Amino acid sequence: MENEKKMITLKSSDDVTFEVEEAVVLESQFLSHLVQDCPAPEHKIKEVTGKILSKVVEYCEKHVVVVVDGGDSSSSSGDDLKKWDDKFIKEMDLSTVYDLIAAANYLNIQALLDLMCQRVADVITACKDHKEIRETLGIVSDYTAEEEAEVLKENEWAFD
Amino acid sequence: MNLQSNHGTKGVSTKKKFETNIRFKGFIGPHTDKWALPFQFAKAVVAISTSFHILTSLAAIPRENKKNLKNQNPTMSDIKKRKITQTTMMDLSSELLEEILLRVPAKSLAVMKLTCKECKTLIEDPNFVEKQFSRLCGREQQLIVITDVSADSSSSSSGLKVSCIGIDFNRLKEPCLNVDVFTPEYLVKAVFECDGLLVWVMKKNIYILNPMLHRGKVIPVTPRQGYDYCDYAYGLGYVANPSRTTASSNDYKIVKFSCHSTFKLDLWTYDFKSKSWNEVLDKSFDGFYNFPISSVCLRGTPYWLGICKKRGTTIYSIQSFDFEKECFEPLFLPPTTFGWEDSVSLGVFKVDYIFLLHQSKSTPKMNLWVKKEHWDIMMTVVIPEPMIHLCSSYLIENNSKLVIAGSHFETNSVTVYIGGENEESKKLEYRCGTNNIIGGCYYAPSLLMVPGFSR
Repeated sequence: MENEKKMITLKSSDDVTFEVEEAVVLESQFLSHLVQDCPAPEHKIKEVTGKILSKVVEYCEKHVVVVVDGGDSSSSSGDDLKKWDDKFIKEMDLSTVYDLIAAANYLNIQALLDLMCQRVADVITACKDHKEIRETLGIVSDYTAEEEAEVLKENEWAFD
Repeated sequence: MNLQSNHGTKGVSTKKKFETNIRFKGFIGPHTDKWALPFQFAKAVVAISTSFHILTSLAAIPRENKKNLKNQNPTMSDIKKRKITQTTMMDLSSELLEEILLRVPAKSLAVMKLTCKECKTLIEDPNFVEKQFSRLCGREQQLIVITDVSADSSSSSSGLKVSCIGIDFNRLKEPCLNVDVFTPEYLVKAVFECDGLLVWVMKKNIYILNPMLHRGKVIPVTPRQGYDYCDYAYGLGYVANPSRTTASSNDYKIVKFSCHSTFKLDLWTYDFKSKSWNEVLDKSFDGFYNFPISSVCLRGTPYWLGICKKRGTTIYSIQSFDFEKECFEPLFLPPTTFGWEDSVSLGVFKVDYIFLLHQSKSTPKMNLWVKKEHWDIMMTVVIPEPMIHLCSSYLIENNSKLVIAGSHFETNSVTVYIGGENEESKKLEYRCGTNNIIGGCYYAPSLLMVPGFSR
């Protein structure tokens, strides 16, 4: 009986279900408390869609496995994990990244939140000017033409 | 459970998609106390939100609803509508937007400010500025600046142009960051850096600049007693406070002292609050023999390395200035022999420790001494040629690389070496086209407002 892993079912806002091991759920502070406080076999997470929850589950499953296996060769698995994280990020569009940031914040998964926020920060850092940032991140300027000219002027050298 | 009290409360916003969690929270209501500790993220984001309960109770009216206040209770169709449209960064709550921006270096944030009003407000917020600086402090985004007057003085209709050659450590292969600075006066010396603020001595005044913000403040000079301005060294800092990485704008102070072999020490401090210079008497220190070789600021305390007179002989000495006690304090040198033609430079290791880089004239080996409880050699880097004039040095901590810059007056060039323990140093050369290389300093870009800047 000890060897049998406890399974928990997570249901997304759009009723997509995921059956995961309890250890995977424990990666999320939010879910681990939920599971402790309410020992139901299925938990509905109304705030996260199936698309995003599948990414969260994928991330947590990978990170749980590595932590469990990493007993003897922790450094190499750490590198593998980093490579996996890089690949995980690269395959994702920014819209999904934002949804994952919100989900990671809600579910309280600090490592995932860090990873996703860093991804957006890196995208911003790689941009050359404010127009490129707007374009890349889909930010709609709320400056009027006059205001924009003023802001640009504000950015010029001023001595007091 | 306490639906009413949570609903429609004004305050900082959380993700609008999760607004419907009110029902959910009611469900776990009796256990809310348990959320206090595990919710580490809240701690990092907003000081007041030490528990999940507080964070959610502060949940604000989502952005879309700001315009339409009666729409406080989104229906399922509203939620579905939102899910069809793609999420953008501006849909995130301001806490999460801040979480992202705290990871962006100052240089990019200065550009980001121009994209929209919300970004500008957030990036200019003093709390954000301080948080951003302390997060990235001592990390990779630091630069070395070597300044030179690069503009042709004959075509200086728009003022004098000074160019800072810096190194963006994320792009070590192409060491070219040029921060152009237009100065209304002729620059004599670029003398000091503290928290991304530079102290420059112009022909008539001193300027405090933040090149990232494009702001400069003129500080009138003290009444002098017949010395030339070239003999004065400067420092910028504040009364050290262990709990803070930076000071609030008005807490900064300037120290100014004469460096001369025959005249007695003339010491002044400038206070940004009272906007005045005060003469200080410090009998414990006779002053440097000439202008300090290197300087650095460690959590508000300036340090200089220079040559001092002691019992009739001249020796190398490190001095710091305590802004609280208003006096100099010596720091013992590493236990090694220093020759007059050696290359020496000061730097900061991991925000809290001072380091000294030393290369004897007779060896290609450069030792990095770090002062923790004692001075210890932390690493040795081999530099293929002796560098007579070290401009500045910086240690990239995460991959233990040392970046060293030196100037060569003969060739009008600046050489930058990037080296590590047991590896060949990479050499980069920058030809300035002028022999007027003013000096260099360790520099960490920040968005801190220039002290005393009123506009």
